Amino acid sequence: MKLLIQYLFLCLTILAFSGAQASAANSGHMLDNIELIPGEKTSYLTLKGYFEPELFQEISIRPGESAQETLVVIPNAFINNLLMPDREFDQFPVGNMIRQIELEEDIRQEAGNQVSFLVNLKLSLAQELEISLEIEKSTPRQLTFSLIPSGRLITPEPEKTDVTDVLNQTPPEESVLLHPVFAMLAYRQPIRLNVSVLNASRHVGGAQRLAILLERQQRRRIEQRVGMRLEVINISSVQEQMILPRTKIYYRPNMLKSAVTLADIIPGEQIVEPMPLNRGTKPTTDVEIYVGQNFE
Amino acid sequence: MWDRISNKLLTLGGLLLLGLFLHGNLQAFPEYTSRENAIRLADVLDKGFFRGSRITSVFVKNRGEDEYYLQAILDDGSSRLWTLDSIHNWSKNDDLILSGNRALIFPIAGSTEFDILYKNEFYRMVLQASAYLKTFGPHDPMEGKNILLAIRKFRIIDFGEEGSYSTDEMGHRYRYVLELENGIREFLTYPDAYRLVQKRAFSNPSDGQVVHRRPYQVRELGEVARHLEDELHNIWSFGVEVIFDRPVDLVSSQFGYQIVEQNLRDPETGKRRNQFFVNVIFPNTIKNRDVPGFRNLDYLSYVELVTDVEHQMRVMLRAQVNPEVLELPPHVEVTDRNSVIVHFFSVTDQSIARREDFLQSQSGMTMAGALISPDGPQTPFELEYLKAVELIRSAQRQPDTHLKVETYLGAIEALRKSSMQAENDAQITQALKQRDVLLKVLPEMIISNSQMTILALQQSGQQVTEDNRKQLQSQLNFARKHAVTEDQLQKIESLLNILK
Repeated sequence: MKLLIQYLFLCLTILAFSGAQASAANSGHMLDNIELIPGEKTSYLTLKGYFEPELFQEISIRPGESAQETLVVIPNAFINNLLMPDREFDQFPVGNMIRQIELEEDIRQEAGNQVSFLVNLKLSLAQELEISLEIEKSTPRQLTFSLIPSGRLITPEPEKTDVTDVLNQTPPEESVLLHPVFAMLAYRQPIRLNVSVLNASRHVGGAQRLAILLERQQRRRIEQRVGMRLEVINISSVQEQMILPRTKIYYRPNMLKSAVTLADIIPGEQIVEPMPLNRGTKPTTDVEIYVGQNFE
Repeated sequence: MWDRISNKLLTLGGLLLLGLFLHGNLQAFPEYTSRENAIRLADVLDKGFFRGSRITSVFVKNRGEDEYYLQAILDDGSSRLWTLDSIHNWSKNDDLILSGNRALIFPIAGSTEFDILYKNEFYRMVLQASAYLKTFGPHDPMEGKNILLAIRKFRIIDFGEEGSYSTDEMGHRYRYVLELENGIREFLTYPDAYRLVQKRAFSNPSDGQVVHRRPYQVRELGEVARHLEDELHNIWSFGVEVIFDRPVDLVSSQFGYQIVEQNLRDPETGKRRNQFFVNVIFPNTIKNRDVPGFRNLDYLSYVELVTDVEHQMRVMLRAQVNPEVLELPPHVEVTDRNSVIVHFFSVTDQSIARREDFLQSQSGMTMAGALISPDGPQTPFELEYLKAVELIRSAQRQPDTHLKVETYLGAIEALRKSSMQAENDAQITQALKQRDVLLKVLPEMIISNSQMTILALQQSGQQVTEDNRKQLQSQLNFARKHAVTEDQLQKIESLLNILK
């Protein structure tokens, strides 16, 4: 009898524990309604429904795609489709504060049959607002956000640019200099393709063999494809620690096509990468080939 | 007969010696050094320890006029002759330990030049720092790029601990572990520690600096539709948008890419063939969920996100590509909406010089292709040319045709000024070539702009203002000067008549 009681107690404990875990895993919010409560200095956006206060910390407010948009992300939340069939709200008592609220429910199946669900509130603002979550004013039946206007109106139309503005403005240097189309304009197509071949393998004479292959056997094919005269300007070896398993081809800006063509023509598997800026190589070299262990 | 055999033996012997010589050259560290370096090294080694024995004194000896080595006297009374290659090897495996908790470093591979790592200073520097500037090393696709990462913990690998005797490819033992908040563990040798001290890689960043604490998580892939990027050269662009779990605090230059050739089975035919893949590398990123890719996207196939198995905390956007169409490299743009767009370009205008062009050319130009020095524009030509290029790029992004035309006209003026400042044939050729490209497309663009403007005004019942009329007339007069077809000239004349 005593054993039976102990067994029953153990079973009940396990059941209670697993039940608690299941309820924790399924906890979340349910949105029933949205209200905008106007105030003299501070207005409040209140979401009605059922909420888990311990998950309030996970709610995030971030800027949207444009200056007049703010995104409120509520993880672990569903929308009550019966009470709130609409996904767009644009009728508010204070019209000069929020133009529209758009709701979006995002439910995804993740690895291990886990389901992630969240609700995004896209707020289209009529004026600049400081939006923050009011945890003290939020309860298990309502979620409250304070809206404090800064006084500046947001004009949805983009500013009209003038010709003189366009001519005077300089784009950020990095974005211009890194852009491949800029590179194409800033570099002229040379007549020669200067190639340096370096042995980065333990096979003696690897660089020389590759140079012979390029110069004597494949020259015509390479020149026809890249539209430049091929010149092997250097054949040498690298330091011991630079032994590479695979042949690497480094190219200067605007020389990608030539580097990929060489990779295509050289037998075996090659890797093509842009020449790192920190490499102190000669500016006359367009392409550097590091002959790796895989070159036979 | 015997002569022939001996000749062959001599040849073979010679080849063997040559092979050994070349092999030796590739592997060896020099045995001797300069007088000054030897004197300095003797001073550093004095009062240190060699295999548990104290070094009581060190002398400099020489073999010829320029070849110096050392003689050491140990506290057991023994005398040793030390060449530099031996010292180099002993310093790696702790046979030779310097006094004052220092380590001997040979920072330049294959050179006897040496320096000292002051370990105590290194420890203080690391323990006081909160961030580590990780610079990616040689032959990494991210070589030369760096990223600031938050430090979680620094510790010394203890003797007997797992991995305490493992070494890097140069035989230097790993001494320290630097654990970073994003989960990366960096194993450091003495030369690594020395390099990091030299580069001031440990710091306490100010408020404005971005320190990466946890990796970005990729969420999904989106498609960026094909659009015209450069109407002058008929370059089209399309892209892949990689969406992350939060805003991305990286800049374009912190992403890397490589094109990899692999001999794989063709998924369609099953036959082995060399295939090209483009890998765009996202640092400090993880992929912990399935992210669906694209089977085909313009000239890319099998576009997918894969974890980089060779490097910590990296994800690669991988796609198969036809090497024939890869004219321009991909470009990474960080957006303000939790995503990064990788732009790919396709060049349909083949105005690039072909074999016939360069064979006909008798020019002896040998200078490198760059018209603007890598450190930025410096000469008057470079400044003017860069301005012209910036205006061209600005015009290409301009949706308003009228502003586009005006910006292109500004670019032509900048190209004219740059050609006046040219210092050699290559510079003036390129400036005039770019001008001609603009002059080729501008007449048609001006005609179209004038027609649209007049039509829009007529439809809205408005009159052309005096300013507008003058601007359009000026543009049309420019177009008349550079029009190439009779049809263009007729249109220009009729438009000028309307604007009178």
